[in-house]
Amino acid sequence: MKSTATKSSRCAECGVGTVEPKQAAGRETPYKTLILPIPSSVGIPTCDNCGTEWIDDSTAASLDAALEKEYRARLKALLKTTLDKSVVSKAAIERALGLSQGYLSHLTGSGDKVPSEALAYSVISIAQAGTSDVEALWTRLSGVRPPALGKAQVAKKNSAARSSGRTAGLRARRSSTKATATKRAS
Amino acid sequence: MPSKKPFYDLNIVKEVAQKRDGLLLSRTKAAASFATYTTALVEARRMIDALRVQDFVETKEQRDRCDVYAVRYRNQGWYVKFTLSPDQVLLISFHVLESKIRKASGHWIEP
Repeated sequence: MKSTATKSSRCAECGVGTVEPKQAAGRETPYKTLILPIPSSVGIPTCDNCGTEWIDDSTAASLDAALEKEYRARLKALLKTTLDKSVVSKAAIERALGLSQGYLSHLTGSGDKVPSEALAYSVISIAQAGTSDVEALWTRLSGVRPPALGKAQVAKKNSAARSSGRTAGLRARRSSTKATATKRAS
Repeated sequence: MPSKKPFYDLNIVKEVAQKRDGLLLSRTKAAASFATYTTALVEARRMIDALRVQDFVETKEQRDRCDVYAVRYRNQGWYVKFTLSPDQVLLISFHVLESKIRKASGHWIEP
């Protein structure tokens, strides 16, 4: 596929210069919520007179691919640095945000998973401010929360819930059998 | 007296803009209004595709002749100015209206 970036043309902005693909260092751009450097390897059709840069499909695709990679790396690094410095534990932040236990470790690990902007900013704000504000909000919304459980307590609670579920199931079956028997007898 | 009809045939403009690399817009303007460059091109194409002759404002005699349109898109008034080369639509202006604008038909578009 032939890109406009490979052709040269007159600039529609100034009407004087010629637009040709240009690779340069030190360029920056807003991308989503960040200002990111544009990799010098990405050629952008640029006017040699007024400097206007023109975007076509091919340029947009290569720019976005490069910027997205950088964006994800930065969000991940930002989250990791914040969590490393924070006095609030990952578990407390996860609890405050209603995330599964271990989710933040998963996000900051070596895998491909990347936090969404909203999540990254929520985590940063809680890590910096502490969980007390969120806890206060929870209390106001839903009454006093039960104290946080440790891993061993969570396992014990889950096991108790499973066994009580089984007992409840047995009780329900027994009572339903009894009711059928009574019906038949009458 | 300004013309009430666009200089460029809108159907041809739409056809050219839909082709791959058939639409060009300035990087700073794309980055100012949209999260990504691909989104900017997608939205610009949608907007051009939504243009009607009734949205025409005026033809400007700049270095190249440009048609200006004002269109209501996603609950906002947009200012669209482009010129046409044989194989590309060059979107020179593409932003939310700063003040109300009068179309050639006499109707006003609010920001």
